[in-house]
Amino acid sequence: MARSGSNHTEGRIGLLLMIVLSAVLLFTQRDAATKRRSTPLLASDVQAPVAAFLGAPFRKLEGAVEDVENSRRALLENKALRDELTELRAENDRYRAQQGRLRRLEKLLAVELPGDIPDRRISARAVSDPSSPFVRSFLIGAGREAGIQNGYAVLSDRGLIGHVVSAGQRSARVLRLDDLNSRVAVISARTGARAILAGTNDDRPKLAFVADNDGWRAGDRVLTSGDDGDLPQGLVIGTVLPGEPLVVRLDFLADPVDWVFVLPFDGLANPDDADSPPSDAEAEAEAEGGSDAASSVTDGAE
Amino acid sequence: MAYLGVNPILRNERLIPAAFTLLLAGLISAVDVRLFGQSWPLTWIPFAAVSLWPRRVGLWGSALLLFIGGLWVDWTTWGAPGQWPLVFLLTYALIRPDIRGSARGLASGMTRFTLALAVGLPVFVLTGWTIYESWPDWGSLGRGVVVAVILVPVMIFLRDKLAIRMGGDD
Repeated sequence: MARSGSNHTEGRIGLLLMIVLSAVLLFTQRDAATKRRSTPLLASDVQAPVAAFLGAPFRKLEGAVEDVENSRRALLENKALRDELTELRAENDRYRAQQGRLRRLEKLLAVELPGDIPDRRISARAVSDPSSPFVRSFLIGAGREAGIQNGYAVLSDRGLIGHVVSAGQRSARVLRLDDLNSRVAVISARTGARAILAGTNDDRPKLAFVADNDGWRAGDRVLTSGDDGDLPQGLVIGTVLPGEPLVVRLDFLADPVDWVFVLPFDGLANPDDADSPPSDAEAEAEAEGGSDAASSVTDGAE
Repeated sequence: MAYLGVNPILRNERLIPAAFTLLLAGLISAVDVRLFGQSWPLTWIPFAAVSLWPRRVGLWGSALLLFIGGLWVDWTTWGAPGQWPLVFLLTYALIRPDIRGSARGLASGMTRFTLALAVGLPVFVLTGWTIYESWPDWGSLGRGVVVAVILVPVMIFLRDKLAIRMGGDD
């Protein structure tokens, strides 16, 4: 009986100790948590295949519900899509003609635009999308082995979803645009006004650093500006909604995130890197006319 | 009084299925379901496992498992390390499943889950507010709780079946 009482006291001490340990951990890891750097990459690599397996029944459920909804709307959508197709064909012809003209002009002026959207895309499956009340991120089932690196943009067929913040060997964590810590430089497609899209942990991130005379208004299409040097210019993000403060409806939220595309984009080089003299090995490689960075990325993916 | 005054015989082998459930629930918690244009996260499933924690098991073992299980959930859901352990442990400390009476069946299981939620939910919100300096997305939080409420009866059913196989106690 006395032994049992002592066990009970020890147990209580143990419980108290664990509570204190949790609180200490929570407050010491605060910075890492808010910068979304607290999850071990190994945990993600283990989690990715298991989450894909466990999530399969839920994905089937989503598919079944979507099939029912789609078949209900099919007739109406069919008519609307035909009308849209006719309009888009004409628009596409105009776009192609303009693109050709733009290329010729760029060639004449010898313009080099580092912010262009790369043609190559890495496909990956979103294996888990926890969207917890404080975190908006998801895990994709491809990592460094597939050529994915930190900072790469991640898109759905609707538009930009976010960017890779930690690339593991076979999985990568993606910070969504609506996460509290997401900040992306954006531009208005109509006026060219600049702003920062700041995540707010709900479906409507806000436009920050907007000047009164910028002329943002409801209905403006929002694209990446490329000013941050991390993302290419011109990736579609969403549409400005009416009201104050200015908030954006994200295009990617229109559909469940399933397959995504990762854009290998190296961004602008750091000016500090140019100041430092090249090492002997680099100088030698340059002298031999070694392959440039772009081709090495392509090779890595293949 | 007689119940609280007597230290029950501890059966730590019951921690094995509890630990396994917490491990599995941690993996599931990273999955979400998107229905009717909304995301329905499964983040509160591990918490449901804690609310149905086996009785008459050692406090030390439970505390350690809840701490590790909480960290596991933090990792899988990409949360702040320490948040879920704190939620689990404070909930456990206040509802004390180790000294509770038998709670088999849907009604008593749901009562225990509701009690646990009354403790865990404010702890989760307040710790999150302290760390992120922002209130949670209430919609996502509410939907997560709804999903847990829907799935808890299944978990209670499975736990009761398991309890019968493990000697009749929960």
